[in-house]
Amino acid sequence: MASTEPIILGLEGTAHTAGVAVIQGTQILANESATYFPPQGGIHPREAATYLAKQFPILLKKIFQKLQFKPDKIDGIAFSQGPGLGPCLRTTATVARAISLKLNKPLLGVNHCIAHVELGRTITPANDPLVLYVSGGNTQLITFLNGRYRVLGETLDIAIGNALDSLGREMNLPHPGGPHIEKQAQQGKNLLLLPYTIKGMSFSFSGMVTAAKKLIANHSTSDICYSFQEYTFAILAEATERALSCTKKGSVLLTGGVAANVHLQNIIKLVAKEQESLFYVVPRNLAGDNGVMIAFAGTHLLKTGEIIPIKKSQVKPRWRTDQVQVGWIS
Amino acid sequence: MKLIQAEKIAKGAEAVIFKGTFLQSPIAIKHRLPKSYRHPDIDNRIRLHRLRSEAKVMTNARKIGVSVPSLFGVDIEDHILIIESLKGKLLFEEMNSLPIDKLDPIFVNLGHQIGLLHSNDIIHGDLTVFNVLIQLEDKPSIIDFGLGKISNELEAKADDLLTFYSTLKAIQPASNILFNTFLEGYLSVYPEGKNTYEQMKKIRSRARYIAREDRLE
Repeated sequence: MASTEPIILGLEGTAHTAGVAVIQGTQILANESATYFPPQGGIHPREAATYLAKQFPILLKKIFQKLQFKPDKIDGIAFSQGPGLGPCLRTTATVARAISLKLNKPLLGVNHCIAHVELGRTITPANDPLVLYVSGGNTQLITFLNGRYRVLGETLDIAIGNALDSLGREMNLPHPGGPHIEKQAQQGKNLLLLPYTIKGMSFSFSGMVTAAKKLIANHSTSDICYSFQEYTFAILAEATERALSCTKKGSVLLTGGVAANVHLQNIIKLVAKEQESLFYVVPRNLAGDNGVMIAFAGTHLLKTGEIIPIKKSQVKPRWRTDQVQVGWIS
Repeated sequence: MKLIQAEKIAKGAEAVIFKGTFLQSPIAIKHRLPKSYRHPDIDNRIRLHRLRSEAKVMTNARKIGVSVPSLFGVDIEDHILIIESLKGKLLFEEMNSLPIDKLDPIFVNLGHQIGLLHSNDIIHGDLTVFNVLIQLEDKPSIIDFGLGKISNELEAKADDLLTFYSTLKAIQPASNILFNTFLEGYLSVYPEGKNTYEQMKKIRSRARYIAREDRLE
């Protein structure tokens, strides 16, 4: 291997996905993941954690079988230290600590939300974008200002992915609801009346889910899905346009699990056009949680020397995007 | 002689802005164009609603003595507002250039103005440092009432405070000091604002990942 870039192992496990990847620089050397689907209802933190504990050894084995070199060539172990579900974070941290001790390699604690941003900055041409991060657990407008990633706007209650999933459940669509709602929405024709809640650059979806649920008795699933997407995505679009207009960043990056929604991509593309900005989106296979993004963000931490001793590696379930010191962007 | 002369100067998030003169006064023409990314039914509903409430809210705010641009005209059919054009710098820009002691009087004064708005049940709806214009040294004017409304709801007033707090925090490390200064001004003209502030903290606690050390007392 000619590259002198460090080789990083990334472990993702904040909620229902166990992700393991090995990267070098901007190269993905191996990437495996497994996602827990609850038999019914939403994600139970303990059940998800049990699932992660079962999956990590399997995924690690697969990864090391694929690689052309021995594990001791790895230069750092990056893991999702937060934010997320406590039991899941603790399981992932335990795996990361064990590998770090065994290989005697530095441990790197990555903020999950920032990892989604760094993934986009690594594999798309976006350099200093306004980021719309949309997933099952988070919905934030993030940008780099005065030495940190700042949250310009965000959901004041539940995330967009969570809203889609819980509406999907009420309509008996399988989990996760998002992709099923996207499909159903394509058949929808009638726009039903829903509230439109925007508060500057922030928004809230919980009331919209309640309003949409009330329509279930009298309207078709496809019309409800169509209307719900039109309203919620319009709100995300408006908040994005406002943030773009305020910050004059010149580019938008769409990232996170819900970034795989093609209709949302098209809408945000139009927002970028309105503000004469460039549009970037992460590839579909890396939109959801994965080990690659953790490893990319971990590379920055290793380079800036932000290594955490095992003793200080406790998980941070409520770790906010704007609490992270960002030493790798000047 | 043409009554109005104008040229396009900016494209905001809500509208295209033209600047010009109307009977020798400087004016801004705010034209809300349809948004390509919104379903036309949602778009029409929103644009009409916002045009009406912006006009109404601006007029009411001016009547009670809050520094806002005067309204010269409304064209409901074409979604156009004609307003006084104010000269000055955005508070956002001033915050990057002025030292904190120069910012203090601005924030107290801004607190007064928002307190006055809220005591008259006027909600701004998008209260950020991007929507405050500094004309004279420490005289803030409030602009862009596009998301404004008349409401006596505690939640709506609290949303104003929270929006202001959040964007302040997003751009300025010393935001807590500045917010407290703002709050002082706010409470001095609007003592019931105590409840608004309590409600703001409640809304904020519903948001995701508020770390313990980051909670407001």
